[in-house]
Amino acid sequence: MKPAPFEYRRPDSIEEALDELARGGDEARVLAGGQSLVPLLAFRLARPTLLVDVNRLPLDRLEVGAGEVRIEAVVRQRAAERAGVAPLAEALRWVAHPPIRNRGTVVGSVCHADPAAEMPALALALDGVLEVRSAAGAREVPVSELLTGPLMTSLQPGELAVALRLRLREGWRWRVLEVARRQGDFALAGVVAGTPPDGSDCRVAVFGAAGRAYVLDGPREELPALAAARAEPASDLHADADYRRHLVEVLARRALEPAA
Amino acid sequence: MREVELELNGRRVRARVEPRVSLADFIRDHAHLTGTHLGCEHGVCGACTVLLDGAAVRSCLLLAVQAEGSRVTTVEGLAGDGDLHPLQEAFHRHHALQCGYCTPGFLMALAELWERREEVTGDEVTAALNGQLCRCTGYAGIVAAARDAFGT
Repeated sequence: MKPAPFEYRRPDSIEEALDELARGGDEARVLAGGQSLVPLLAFRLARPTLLVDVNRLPLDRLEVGAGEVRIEAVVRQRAAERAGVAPLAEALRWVAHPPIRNRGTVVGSVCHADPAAEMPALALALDGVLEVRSAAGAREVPVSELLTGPLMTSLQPGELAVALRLRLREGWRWRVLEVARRQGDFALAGVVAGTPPDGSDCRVAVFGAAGRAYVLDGPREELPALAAARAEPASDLHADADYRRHLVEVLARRALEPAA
Repeated sequence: MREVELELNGRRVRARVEPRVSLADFIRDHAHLTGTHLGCEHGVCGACTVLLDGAAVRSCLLLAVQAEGSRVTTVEGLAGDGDLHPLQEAFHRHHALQCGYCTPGFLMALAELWERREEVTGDEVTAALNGQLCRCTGYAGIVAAARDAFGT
């Protein structure tokens, strides 16, 4: 038993969950898949006094509509990777390991905002919009305005992300590439790269190379260098900053190569 | 304290625990099944992998209270009475363990695939093994055992 003590609530309705989160304020945390939060609790890097477990809320649907996929808050990554949405499946195969993806959620990973994680970058690349509710009402947050820094978002105390909408652009081809020390580790650097069907601007979202994921549009030939120029990578024992910047350019170039 | 009741290897188990108790600690300290091992206790090593309603999960990353009402299978529930499960037989045959600490996790990560073993691909077996750490064998025996058991 490693976490500090906390109060645990497992509401059955969204309204009840929002009331609990309002009561807990900034001392409350949402528990969804728990694959990032529980390690933080174990290390006592997070010490919330209230955990609101959302796993039994009616938020487990994934709907693929015209040009869009909507993923609710407790849809597991394993379910999402089998939903027949190519860029989602392509990105999720890089996320940790099957037992982690059996519990981890897509929405939770976006909200956790790890700068080296695949899901926030994918959500940026696919014009993600987060549907957020609180006791005070509802709002929509574009993922471009959600990610503010390492493990930091613009979500406020009392707010619950209930779903993520991703735009599926007609005819686009997406590739996800990354380099990690071992399969399933967080990336040293990685890219989510999209090529349009008509030769117009391509798109690259980059993760692991700055305090948060970022996205750029531009011509296919120029985009890899532009993406690398925007990188603000850290140096640590796994890789230095120059190597990470180099990876961004090489991975972006490979990911944007025309299909053979 | 909170009352938790779940089905563990076909047996109903009930205990009063603090919400911060992990499913792994519940299994070991309250249900007294010590086949589920704890290595890192933060989701990296995979030693504590069990099946939760048929899906392989890290029992150190799940609170016992979250498993309330669920069906949990540990390595003790793998074999029938007396006999080894085919996965355990394959591990035995290929010398897929040395100290054995990581073995229950490897077995349970693979056990998730066992029900649909006819259609499981080599890539899926590799992906299942990827999330588990072993510090003694060098993995060769484990990979051989898994490939043999699944015929991939």
